[in-house]
Amino acid sequence: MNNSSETATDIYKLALQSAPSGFLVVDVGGTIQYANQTLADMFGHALEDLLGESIEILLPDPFVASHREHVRNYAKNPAPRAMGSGRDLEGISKDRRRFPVEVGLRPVHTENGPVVVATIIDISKRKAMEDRLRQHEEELERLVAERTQELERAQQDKERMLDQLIQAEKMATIGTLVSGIGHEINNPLYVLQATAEALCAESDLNQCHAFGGSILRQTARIAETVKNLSRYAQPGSKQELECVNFDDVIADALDLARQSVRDDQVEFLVNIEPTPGFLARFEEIVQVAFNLLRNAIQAIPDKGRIYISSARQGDWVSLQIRDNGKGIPEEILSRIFDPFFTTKGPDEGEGLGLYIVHQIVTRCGGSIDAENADSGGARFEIRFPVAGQGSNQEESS
Amino acid sequence: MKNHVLILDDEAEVRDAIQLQLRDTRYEILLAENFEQAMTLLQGNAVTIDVIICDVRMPGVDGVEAVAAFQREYPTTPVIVLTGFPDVDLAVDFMKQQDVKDYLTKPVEKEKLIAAVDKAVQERKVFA
Repeated sequence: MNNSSETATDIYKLALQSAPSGFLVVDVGGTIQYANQTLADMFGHALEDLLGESIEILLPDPFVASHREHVRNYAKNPAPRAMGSGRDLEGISKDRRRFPVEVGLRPVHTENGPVVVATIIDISKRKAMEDRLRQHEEELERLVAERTQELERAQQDKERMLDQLIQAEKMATIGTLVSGIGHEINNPLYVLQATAEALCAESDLNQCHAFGGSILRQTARIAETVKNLSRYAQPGSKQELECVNFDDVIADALDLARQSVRDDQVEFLVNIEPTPGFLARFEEIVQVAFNLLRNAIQAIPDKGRIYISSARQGDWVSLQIRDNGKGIPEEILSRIFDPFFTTKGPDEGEGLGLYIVHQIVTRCGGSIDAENADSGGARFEIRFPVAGQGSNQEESS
Repeated sequence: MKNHVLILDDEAEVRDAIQLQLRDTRYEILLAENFEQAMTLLQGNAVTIDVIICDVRMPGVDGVEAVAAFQREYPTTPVIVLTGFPDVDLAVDFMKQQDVKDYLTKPVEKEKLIAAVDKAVQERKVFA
């Protein structure tokens, strides 16, 4: 008569006993009323040993105290929930092996009082996988951090090398200054020589004073020249960006350029308008202008002309340097800013001048163009954004 | 008979310095601050100039052109180049092409300058 109910009961029994999850029924005192085989196997106990035992035999010591606390709270506020959500729960097997578990709880009211039905899943494998995944993530992040650092270091190295190149090019151009400067220093030195010789042989005090005065004048002259040269030779890369004006730049650059030419060899026609300043490093822009002037000087025949002008074009200011030389052959015009490109002989320079000029200018957010002027001769134009307008960011390319 | 030395340099203080160094010698000094003045002095009949001391870097007609002109117009007058320009190649050019008697760089000691002038005057006498 009870076939169907017996069959049903059999199925329930089967289902419960062999369910993939561990099952527990625990009374309010914490005593195990029922456990399924899966749970017994999971914890390594014989099933009959579990029944009537306290649930605490399944808990590792660290968890016992907090479990009692939770039981007390649960009793006050019983509700189905996943236990220890967010916390790492562990069970302990008969042979004292701890393993991570996931626990679900549900209160049930029975004739004999309330009980708690619990499902327990051994999540060792899952946890192991999660741990492995987290390790991989951390490894990845570490690698990314490392690569980023490497990239930053490479970028800094590049910046440093560019600074060194700029400084080296500056020193190289000093060679062209030296011959002119030699004159500027050797003439006063000669006057010093002759005056000192005469002073040594002189007994008239007034004459001695006159000689002394001359000596002082010449030493001052030499000191001034050396100071100007030293200022040019300073490595300027550590300087901050400042507001630079073309007027000041051209004044210094012309001073330097004039040292290296005979006065009648070149005519400089300067037409500098007062233009707004731009953000750059002053010494570097002087280096740029001097470099362009020097190239122009080398391009022109004797008694040639170099035109220097500045202008404002909206948010930009520009400086133009034009010469009346032969101009730049069209086929090489696009390559003149390339590093190591030069039309000079092997002993005359390694072709870094215009490359450096290009780097300096673009590093400050400016641009440089070269073309042949209608009147023959070459024209170089450098442009910078006016300071304070839009973005004046330094490009780190 | 006194020998005359023409000094061509655009800087007054340098001209004074050369004069200072030659003041205890028997040489009469004539000063020129540019090529035109020098030529005027050379062309003048009042004195015969025995040696020219010439600078290189000068505005207007510079030393290279000046020396070339001197060689053309007054081939028997020796030229001593005295320059602050420390360019070795230029020196070699001068000595070879322009047949300059001596090439001195500033600063030069008094003794050296006098010796160079003495030598130039001596050789001129020999070949005159």
